Amino acid sequence: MELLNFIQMKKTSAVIGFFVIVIMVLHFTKPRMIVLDQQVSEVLKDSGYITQVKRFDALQNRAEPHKSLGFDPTSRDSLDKYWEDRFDTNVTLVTNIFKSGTNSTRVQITSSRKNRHWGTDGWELYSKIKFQNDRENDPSQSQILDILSEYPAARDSSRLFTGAYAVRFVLWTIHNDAGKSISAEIELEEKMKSPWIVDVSDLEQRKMLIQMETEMYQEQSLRRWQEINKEKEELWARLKELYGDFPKDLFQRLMAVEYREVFWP
Amino acid sequence: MKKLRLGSLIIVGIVGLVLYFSVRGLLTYSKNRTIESGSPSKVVIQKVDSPTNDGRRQWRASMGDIAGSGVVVNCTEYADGQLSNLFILPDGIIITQSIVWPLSPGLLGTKEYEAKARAAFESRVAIEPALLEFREIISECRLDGSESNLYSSIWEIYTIRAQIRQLKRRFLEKKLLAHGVNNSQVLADKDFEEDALYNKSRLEQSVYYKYGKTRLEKLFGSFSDTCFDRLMSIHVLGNPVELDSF
Repeated sequence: MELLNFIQMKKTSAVIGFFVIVIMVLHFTKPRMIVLDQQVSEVLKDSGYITQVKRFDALQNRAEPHKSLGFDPTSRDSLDKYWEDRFDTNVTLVTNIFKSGTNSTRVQITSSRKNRHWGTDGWELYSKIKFQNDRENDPSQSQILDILSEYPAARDSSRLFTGAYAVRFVLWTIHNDAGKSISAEIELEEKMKSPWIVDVSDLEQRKMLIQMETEMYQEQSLRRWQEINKEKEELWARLKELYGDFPKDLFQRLMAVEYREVFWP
Repeated sequence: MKKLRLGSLIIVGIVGLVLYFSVRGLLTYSKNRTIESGSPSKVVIQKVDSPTNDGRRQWRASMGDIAGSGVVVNCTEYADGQLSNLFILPDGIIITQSIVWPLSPGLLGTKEYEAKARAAFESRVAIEPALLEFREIISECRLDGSESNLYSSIWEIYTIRAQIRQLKRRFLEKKLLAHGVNNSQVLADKDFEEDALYNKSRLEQSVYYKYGKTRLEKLFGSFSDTCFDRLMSIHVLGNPVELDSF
């Protein structure tokens, strides 16, 4: 009888021991396993933004047939060629309608070509190599990764560097656009001091010229601002495509990242 | 037999503890998604002195990416909104600067300021669309008293962003070091290494961020880094108009 009890106890201990081990394993691997839709949605509701997270629509989860990388990661020439060959041959026409003020509307038709490497393993590796090379020169770029990683779907994604490099690229573009806007302001001020304005003796005509130049500058600035906004919108859409969604607050913080080149002309 | 029972009880206890911490971890994981970390525009404050009787306040700061390199700015704030900055750069370069914040400290938090800022907002918004974005973000940040200080805070943020834009302009024009220095100091950007110029820019930026944010904190009681960072992502096209004209 005692022997039977002893065997029964042993079995119970073994079962409990097994569960302990399983739970311990689950416990230590938790950060990668608890990104539940509901939890992420809750955080987003708290911050008052997007409420629906469709993680399973994320690009990373779509089945992709196995392809070779398309470049040699150790060769700079190969990396450059991969970058140059990124555009799709199909051209897409895009119509942009810009509204400024209350009664001014501008329609712009542009052509764009998609990055055919986007969302592939090859592009992820390319982005990682480029991002890490850039980070060596400017460690403050780690901020991009830090902020992206605050969103569990991005942190756990196999496309983390695709997003990080896209952010870095857009920040650089915006920096250039902002620089152009400042240059235009300097140009306007110089024009105001030029003979084209100063030498006009008729006061009314001079006023008119100043107003015309100022309005042209303002129009140009607004257009540039809209361009910057369009770049941001497109990037945000790409991040949502990559990670199923991406919260507005985190995106805006990404757009505030300042790295070394911010001050270089 | 007793030993076995005791062993089983210990194992059950461990299971209970592991389960407790796992569930607690699950519940608090999303809440602990700290959005305060990794602040891009983080000013690293190294020292803050208590205000003196005449309203003077001193602090020492740097910016996140250069804080470890020993470059700092010692700033003295005066009650009238004047800022006296002492920049300590590598290679023993020391630069002093005296500037006046464009918004009066006395006006902050008053109804007069709110009314003037609102009028200025309405006259400017057609050519400065960033103002609408500032309003949207401030509303989303759910700050205490944001309704009564909404336009004042928009104007405060506009001023900070315009200061940063002016700083970038001075950098582009290579007039960075001449700004706010007294006549006895003849400094030309071309005589300095790029590193010194970059560090000076970042330190000056830290002054604008710190002082600007302090004013926002005075206005609302507190102002989160997250909200501040979001606002700092918006580009402005020009400078705020003088509020006295409203």
